[in-house]
Formats: sequence, C-alpha cells, structure tokens
Amino acid sequence: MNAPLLDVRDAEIVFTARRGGVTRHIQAVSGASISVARGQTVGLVGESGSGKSTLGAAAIGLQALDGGEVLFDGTPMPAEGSPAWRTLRRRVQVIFQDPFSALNPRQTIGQSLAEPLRLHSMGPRRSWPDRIAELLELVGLNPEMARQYPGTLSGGQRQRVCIARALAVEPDLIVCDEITSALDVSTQAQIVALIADIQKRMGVALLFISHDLGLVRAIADRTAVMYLGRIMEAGPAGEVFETPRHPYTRALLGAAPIPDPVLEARRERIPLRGEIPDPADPPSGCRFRTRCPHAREECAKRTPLPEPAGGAIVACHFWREITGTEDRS
Amino acid sequence: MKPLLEIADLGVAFRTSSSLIHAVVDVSLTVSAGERVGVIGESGSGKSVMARAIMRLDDPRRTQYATSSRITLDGRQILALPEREVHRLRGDAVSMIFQNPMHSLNPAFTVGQQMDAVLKAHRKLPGRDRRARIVDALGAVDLPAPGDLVDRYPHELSGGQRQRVMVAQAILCEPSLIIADEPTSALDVTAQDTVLDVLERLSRDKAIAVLMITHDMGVVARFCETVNVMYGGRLVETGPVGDIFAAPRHPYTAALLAATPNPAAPARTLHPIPGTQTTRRGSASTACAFIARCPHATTLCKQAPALRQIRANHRVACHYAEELDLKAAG
Ligand SMILES: Nc1ncnc2c1ncn2[C@@H]1O[C@H](COP(=O)(O)OP(=O)(O)OP(=O)(O)O)[C@@H](O)[C@H]1O
Ligand SMILES: Nc1ncnc2c1ncn2[C@@H]1O[C@H](COP(=O)(O)OP(=O)(O)O)[C@@H](O)[C@H]1O
Ligand code: SF4
Ligand SMILES: [Mg+2]
Ligand SMILES: [Mg+2]
Repeated sequence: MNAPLLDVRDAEIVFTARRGGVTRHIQAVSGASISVARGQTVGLVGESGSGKSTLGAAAIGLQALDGGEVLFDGTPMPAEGSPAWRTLRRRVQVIFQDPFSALNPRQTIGQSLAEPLRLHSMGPRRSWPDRIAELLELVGLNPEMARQYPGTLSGGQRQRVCIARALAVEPDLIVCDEITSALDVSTQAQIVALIADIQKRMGVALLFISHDLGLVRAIADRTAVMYLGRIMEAGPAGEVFETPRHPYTRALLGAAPIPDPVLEARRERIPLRGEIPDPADPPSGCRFRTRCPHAREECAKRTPLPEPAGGAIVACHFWREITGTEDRS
Repeated sequence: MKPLLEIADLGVAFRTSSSLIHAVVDVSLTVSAGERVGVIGESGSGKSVMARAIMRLDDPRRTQYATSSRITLDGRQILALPEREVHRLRGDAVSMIFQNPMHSLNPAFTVGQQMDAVLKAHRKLPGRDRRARIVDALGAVDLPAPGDLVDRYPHELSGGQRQRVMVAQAILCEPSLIIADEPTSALDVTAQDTVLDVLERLSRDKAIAVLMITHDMGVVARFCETVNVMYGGRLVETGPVGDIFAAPRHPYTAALLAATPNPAAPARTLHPIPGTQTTRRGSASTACAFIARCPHATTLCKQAPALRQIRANHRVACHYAEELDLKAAG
C-alpha cells in the first residue's frame, strides 16, 4: 500500500509555562496519530484547547515534537534549514483563522503573493505578474486587486488572498486552521466551496481544523475527534457523524444545534459533566473520564488505546456496550 | 396583550465625513414579555445597529434616527427620553451581552468587583446583600462553586465561563429584556450549548425576553420562537421559526438556509450566496434590498416591496413571496 502523504505517529507535545511562580507542563498533544492521504480532506474537530492547532502545526513542521514522529511522503521531517526542509516548507502550507493579521498591511496584495514565489524560486521573476493574476482569478478575485492594500479588502476577500498565497507554491498539503471562524455564514460558504473546488481540481490534500461540526461534515472525507491532547475517534466522515461510537464524539454531536427546528427539537443531547480539566494535570487513564457519562473504575486505571471499530478507530474501553446492538451484528 | 418592546419604522443613519450611511431602514418588530426572538442576517445587514438603537448606544453626534422612528419599551418612548433616563435603563430593565466577554470584563478586577459595580449603580443595597445576590446570579448560570468564583479574575476562567459571568451580570437587576449580540459566536459547540441552555432557562423561569442576534441558523432553530431576517438594513422576512424554516418565503432567507452547514445532514455542498452586500451610502435606495444578488429578480423589483402579511404573524418583503418555489431552488 502507498504511504500516506502525511503520517503523524504517537505525537507528544509538552509546553512548559510558568504561572504564579510555578512551572507547569502542559500536555497539549499526547500520543496522537493522524494521517492524510494524497488529495484527501481530513477534518480535525474538538473543543477549544483540545490540541488541534498544536497538532496541525506539528504536521507541517512548525512545532517540534517531544515524542513520536511526523512522516511526510514516508520520510521523517528533515533537519531545520536543510535543503530538504526548504522543499518541505513549500510542499506544506497553512492558512489561519484571522485573515486580518495574516497579511502585511504595508504590502500590496501583489507583493504579498510574490513573496512565496521568491522564497521558493518559483519560475523566473518576469513570470510572476502573470502567475499572480492567475492565482487571483483562481480564488475568484479580480486580478486588478494585486495593486490594492489589504486594508481595502473585506474579511472574505482577504481569506481568498491567503488561499491564493498558499496555492502559489503548488503545495501537496494545506493545513486550514479555523479558516472560516471569523467570517459570516455566506462568506464561509463561499470560502468552503472555493477550497473544496480547488481541492478537487488540483488534488491538494487538506487537514481541515474546525470546531464547526456541520462544516467539517460538509467538506471532509475523514474526520478525527480530539480531546485533551488525544485522538478519541477517527474514521470516514459519514461513519463518524452517523454512527459515533466514542462517548465524547456523541456528546460533541449532541451539543451542535441543527438548523432545522423539527430535527433540533428531537436532537439527542448528552450533557457533559463539569469543565475540561487542566492540561497540565490531565486525568489518569482515559482523559475523558471526568466528564464521561459512562466512566467507571477501569477508566481511571487504564488508558484506552485506539482500536478498530467498523471502518473507524475508537479509544474507549466500553464503546461496544455503549453503542449497543448496532455493533454486535 | 401589549408587546414589551415595539420598534416601529426605525431608520438609523450615520454621518461620516463624506456621506450618510443608511445602516437600518424602516424596520418594525415587536418582542413580547418572555419571548425569545432571533435576528439573523449576514455581516453588515444592520443587526447590531438596530439592537444598539434600543438602548441608544451610538454616539448621538453622528447618529441620525429617522423622524418617524419609534421605539417603545414598556410604555416608554426610548428615542424621546432624556439621556439620563436611558442611562438608568441600561443594565437594569434592559441588559446587553456581546460577542467577546473579554472586552466587557476588566482584567484588573475580580468577577465579584465588576458585578458589584453594576449592582451598586442601580440598587441601594447593603454590601452583604449585594454579595449574596451576585453569588445567586452566578449559581443561576450554572457556574460551579459561585462562592469562590466571585473572587476570581476573568483570565482564570474559560471563554464559556466568562460568557456565563456576563449572563449572570445581565440578570442582576432582573431585566425584562436581554439583548444578546452574538453571545456564542466566539465559543465552541459545548460552551455554546451551555450558554444557550442557561439563557433559555432564565427566559422561561423569570419571563425575561431575549433578543438574540446571530449569524447561525442553528442557534435560531435551537433557541428562538420568532425570527427576523435582515438584509441591507431592512427586515425582509419575519415570523414563527417553525414556519420560516419549513417554508421560507423570501429568496434571501432561502439562500441563507442553503448556505448553512448542517451536522445532521449527509455530506452535501454548501450553496454560497453569490456576490456581497454593499454599503448603503447617499440617499436610501428605492429598490428591493436583495435585488443585486437575487436569482429571481425582475424589473418590478426596482420598486422596494413592502413587508406584507402572507400568513398569521408571517410577513415577507418580496413581490413574489407567494409564487416562488424556494425549497426546490435551495
Ligand atoms: N458607527 C458607525 N458609523 C458608520 N457606519 C456604521 C457604524 N456602525 C455601523 N455602521 C454600518 O452600518 C451597517 C450595519 O452594521 P451592523 O454593525 O449593524 O451590522 P451587523 O448586521 O451587526 O453585522 P455583523 O454580523 O458583522 O455584526 C454596516 O454597513 C456598517 O458598516
Ligand atoms: N505556546 C504555547 N505555550 C503554552 N501552552 C500552549 C501553547 N500553545 C498551546 N498551548 C496549550 O496547549 C493546549 C492545546 O492548545 P491548541 O492546540 O491551541 O488547542 P485547539 O487548537 O484545539 O484549541 C491548550 O491547553 C493551550 O493552552
Ligand atoms: S474509556 Fe471510560 S471514561 Fe473513557 S470514554 Fe470510554 S467509558 Fe468513558
Ligand atoms: Mg486552535
Ligand atoms: Mg453585529
């Protein structure tokens, strides 16, 4: 079988932070694995603070690991600054939530788009103006816009520029970290339709991080669910959304409002107890156990390892019991 | 029964150095006591300006209310009151909650100190009673250990907890109306769910009306009984939530629904609304607000359609409200 394009294996990331004179070791990512095949869209969901952005940064080499490894095209991350590292920096791109701070206000849109071309020596300099015009058209903007400054653009237009900039260097993978959270519904739909279309036409793979479950369902082929640094469930998007097996996935889906009052009134809600624990002092065993409605003694003693469940993988000791008859057949 | 809040023919324009911006044009809506009413529309459609007008929060030197505008709250003519009296209503009979609780909370003061400042401004109570009332309010929004929480600082709380502190602060003086301007847009699904739960329970138990401003059709379906759809500063459709979701009668409402992702629907493409909303400068336009982006527009639409009743409590501003087959189009 072909190696996946991106393969993160048992990643560990610990931040050291001082607060009130005490040093705290924040376990942002703990033994998390995620892979993205060529041309695939993988959604990564979870509450805020669950480690999605940190894992996304690690996936593209912007965040060092304290354990585990990241394989790109089957090869480990090259040493920072090496020629192989520079190539990798071209092949993986990232787009962030805030299109306002992502663009330099003193550079024209054209200058912002020329930068990655120069950085990665993409063709001769005289080809750049045409390439920039082409990129702007690709993301649905008027090529004339190259002369404008970001201050004159709307949030949606700026996010299109950020997408164009990521595409400029013909990457194989783009990490999209909450790219529509700052936009309203109709702009969000435009951006998602655009990125889905580009994805199809250019075959670029996406790691699509979002806490909007509906959005992930609309765009992702596969979905991974993260909680307090661990992947709780991962699998084909349809399967994860239709037959969620992990209690956390079920609770998360149960909290998302449905834009249809009839279905909304019938939505099965699973109240989560308490608040997310301190990542510097996570619960023993299953990290979800302090809020899980099914937790019992066993859950504090042993850490559930991800195991196959249908076409997905689930990290819960009791998922079979919890999902009932459905999985006994 | 007389409504708690009645907005009639509201027009709000802002004077800028170069032109006049018509943020809200001819909006009329009512909110009954204890009712949960939604206002939805994309960015720039005039939702916040309309909401701020209820408490006259915009700078009077730059803000122009149309002469026919009336805002009646519990019998009081808000637009005609002296500023001193409007000031007294804010945080008392009417409370507001905004999107980012960090902007409304001062990082240098404890939760209890800030809430006390609000309470002191409106009620003459001994310190001990005020503290008891603050602790009660924090408990009413499901915050754990409210007795300890009063002495914590905002940065020690999560985003969802901070927003619940804002809700607790909003109910201190037992308001009859809470205006919530995108209170959950910055929160993740679970924190949003808790905030909406708390607001819904308060609304039911204490008969507090809530005007919920949002971008999210899911929040409307989850929380509201009635919804008002705004576009281009105008109200384009209004009615019971069930009716409007089952059969939207304005092309803009249908387009918004088609652009909304649904976690319960099988994977599907989102249908973006082509184009963008433009700023309304100069003289107010006489065409339908949605004309530039509407797939059904005809020459008739160059005349603004009036908001008219098509069913009980369901009003639409579209010439073709009865004829269009919008479900099929969405
Ligand atoms: N103080 C102001 N001066 C000038 N124009 C303003 C002012 N406040 C708002 N506007 C304009 O009025 C229009 C309506 O703005 P408003 O803030 O009500 O939109 P909104 O529907 O709340 O949007 P969002 O969903 O982005 O919050 C916009 O065109 C906006 O730019
Ligand atoms: N640079 C950093 N220093 C210290 N802690 C951090 C840093 N970045 C993230 N964290 C912590 O790591 C955890 C995971 O954060 P993040 O990856 O941003 O989560 P998400 O993107 O899912 O909201 C959180 O507890 C966060 O506070
Ligand atoms: S392992 Fe235990 S605590 Fe964790 S999700 Fe499963 S039942 Fe809940
Ligand atoms: Mg993040
Ligand atoms: Mg607003």
